[in-house]
Amino acid sequence: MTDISPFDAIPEEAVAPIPARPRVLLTGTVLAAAAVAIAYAGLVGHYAARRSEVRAGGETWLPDGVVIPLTQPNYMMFTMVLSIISILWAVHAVKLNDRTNAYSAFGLTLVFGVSQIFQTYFLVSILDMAPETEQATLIYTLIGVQIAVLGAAMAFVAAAAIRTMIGGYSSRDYEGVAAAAIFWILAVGVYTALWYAVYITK
Amino acid sequence: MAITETQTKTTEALDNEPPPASKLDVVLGSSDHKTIGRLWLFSGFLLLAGALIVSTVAAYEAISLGSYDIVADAAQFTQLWSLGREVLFFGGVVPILIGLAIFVVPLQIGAPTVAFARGASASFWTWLFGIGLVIAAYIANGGAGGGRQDFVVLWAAGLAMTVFAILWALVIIATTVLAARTSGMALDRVPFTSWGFFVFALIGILSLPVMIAELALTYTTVANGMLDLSTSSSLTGVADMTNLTPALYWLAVPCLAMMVDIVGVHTSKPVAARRAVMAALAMVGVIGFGANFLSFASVRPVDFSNGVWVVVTAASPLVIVSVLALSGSSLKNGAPKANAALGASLASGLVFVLGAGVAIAGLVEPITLFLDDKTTLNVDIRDTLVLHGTTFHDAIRGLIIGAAIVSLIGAVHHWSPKLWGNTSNGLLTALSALSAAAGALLWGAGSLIAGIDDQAAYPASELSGGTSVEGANVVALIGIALVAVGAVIALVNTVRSAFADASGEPEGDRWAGLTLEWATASPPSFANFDSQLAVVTSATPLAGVGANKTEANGGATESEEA
Repeated sequence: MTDISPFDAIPEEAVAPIPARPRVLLTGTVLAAAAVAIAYAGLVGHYAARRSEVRAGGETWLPDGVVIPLTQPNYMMFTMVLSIISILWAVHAVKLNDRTNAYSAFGLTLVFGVSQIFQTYFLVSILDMAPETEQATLIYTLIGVQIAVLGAAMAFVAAAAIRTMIGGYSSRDYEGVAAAAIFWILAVGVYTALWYAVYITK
Repeated sequence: MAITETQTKTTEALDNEPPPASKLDVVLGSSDHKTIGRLWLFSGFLLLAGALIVSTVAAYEAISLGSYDIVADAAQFTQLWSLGREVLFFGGVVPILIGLAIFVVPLQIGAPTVAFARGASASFWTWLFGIGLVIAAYIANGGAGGGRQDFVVLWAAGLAMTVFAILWALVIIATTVLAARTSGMALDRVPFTSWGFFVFALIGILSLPVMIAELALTYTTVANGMLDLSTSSSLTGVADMTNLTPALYWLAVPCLAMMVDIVGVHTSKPVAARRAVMAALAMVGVIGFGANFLSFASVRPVDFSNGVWVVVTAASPLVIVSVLALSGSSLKNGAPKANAALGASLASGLVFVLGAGVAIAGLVEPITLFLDDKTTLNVDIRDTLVLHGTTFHDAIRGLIIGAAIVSLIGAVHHWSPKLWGNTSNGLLTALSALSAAAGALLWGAGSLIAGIDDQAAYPASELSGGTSVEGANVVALIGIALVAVGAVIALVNTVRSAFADASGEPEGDRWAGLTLEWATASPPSFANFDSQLAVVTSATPLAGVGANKTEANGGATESEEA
């Protein structure tokens, strides 16, 4: 017969564990986020430099007949700002072991992400810009990379949500959720750069 | 008292156990940082030798540009030259550095593995696939100078994938140093090599993404038919951002750091002014990155008349010399032992200084322009020393890349007991390092003379410049060929020591090193350190430990700073 008491599981001469250096995932995420930010800054910088050169030559930047509306981009910006609140809500909920709130917050964040993709699709469809122009190439590249970053952030959040569901993250360890939140906020920053550089200042 | 019951395995359960993994499975599916590091190293050396052979062929064609012996026309010459340059950098030198980092850094900082071990494995396979795509695209008439749109697009995608994988590995290296150090190992106690790789990784993380951005733009531009393929040779500019100074000094950071560690070990006198060396190494990195960052708005990194370029170019030799000078104290106060790793490391340091020194010649033009514009001195020496747009930049590249290769040859010899459990052949190491160093000098000298005589920078379609150009190009050809010979010998030496019988090899600390990688077996076990390491209290945790460090396994780490 097996007789196990919880105290017996602890050896009498237990060695105090050497304090681990946690936050490997968090550190890696911050570094990866920095790389993504630099890449997008490079793209925006290239776009701004080319636009400035064309304007300095006395021409307009956008081709004739192309109008970038403000309604959709502003709604998208609003969606992204809301998603920051929802992802921080998720971190807070996991930190408090409040699973119901955590699932709701993860779900809402992902819904915001999906809605951002749909809104981008709609915006691109009404832009009606022929791809064989330099402006279109630059703008579509900026939009495409932004959506790719958002997709990566959604995958990260989904992975954190699944790991929370199976008990991987809780109040004791919510590093992965915090890392996902950092990457999500980066994705919002990337959209903010696109919104200002392309949609607002055109 | 707790009773543990172990269920007896039934015959059926035994039958269901998976068969033992084959050696191939262990290599291909490994998440052991040592295996991954070796994969990077082997592949890197293989591609390094291949890229240098391609570069040698391109240099042969460049002796008399305009009449081609091997390639058909100027576009093919551009492809050949560009293939050699890209694979040399992203397929050879950088991957070997990454391989060393992934292998050595966790051992030096007392970590059981690298951060994100499976990510490290994935980064390797991504890199291999990406560089394979680059080579395949060139073969199929794509790449810079290519004439087939689909394969120019494939080249952009492949190169972006390659750079992305390198970036991924750099994130892993930086995270390992930041978050996986053993207890007590503060950042200022990290061995120089690990510190150098940390700076290398950070600078890469902050500058390589710009290249990925430019490749994304190239991809969409070419895919949309926006680039006239007859001008696709302009795409060579994409790789300029890593192959021109000061960005090229990025390579010098880990190489100089390894040199400092190697000098410390083989003189039995670790470099005393630790923080000064660490600061100088960081400065080399900042110099490599700074000019890039300040001008990344236009994506092109180097503007020859840029004031930042002038300041950085002037400062870089001083910083590199300062690292060498600080290492000199160990040579002077220690007991240097004749060793191929020590000789190669010192030679690489000197070639780095020479490369940075040659770059100073490029300052004459912007300074003259400045004096012309801002003063009434009417200084006009532009007709005699206009180096921008000439093979002058190729001279610096030859010296810096050559120095990095010499450094890598020395470093692989130094850590060969850990890498393979077998010290590589010292004579072959010395021979390969000597060949590569001499080759780098000739490559640099030939290209510099041709540049001074106004030969246009590659990829030029015709031979231009004065009468000395052809002769200078022959010198450069001999130089590149010698570097290639050095790389091939290094590859043979690496394979030889990896597969040689290691029974006569001393265990553990081959060189009486004082950092943690020498406290474990050679090669180390899967977990690196078989017992728990004691808290590290100094930058040289093995100082004062007896001969059998493998058994001590870092246990005697209470020693004072050496």
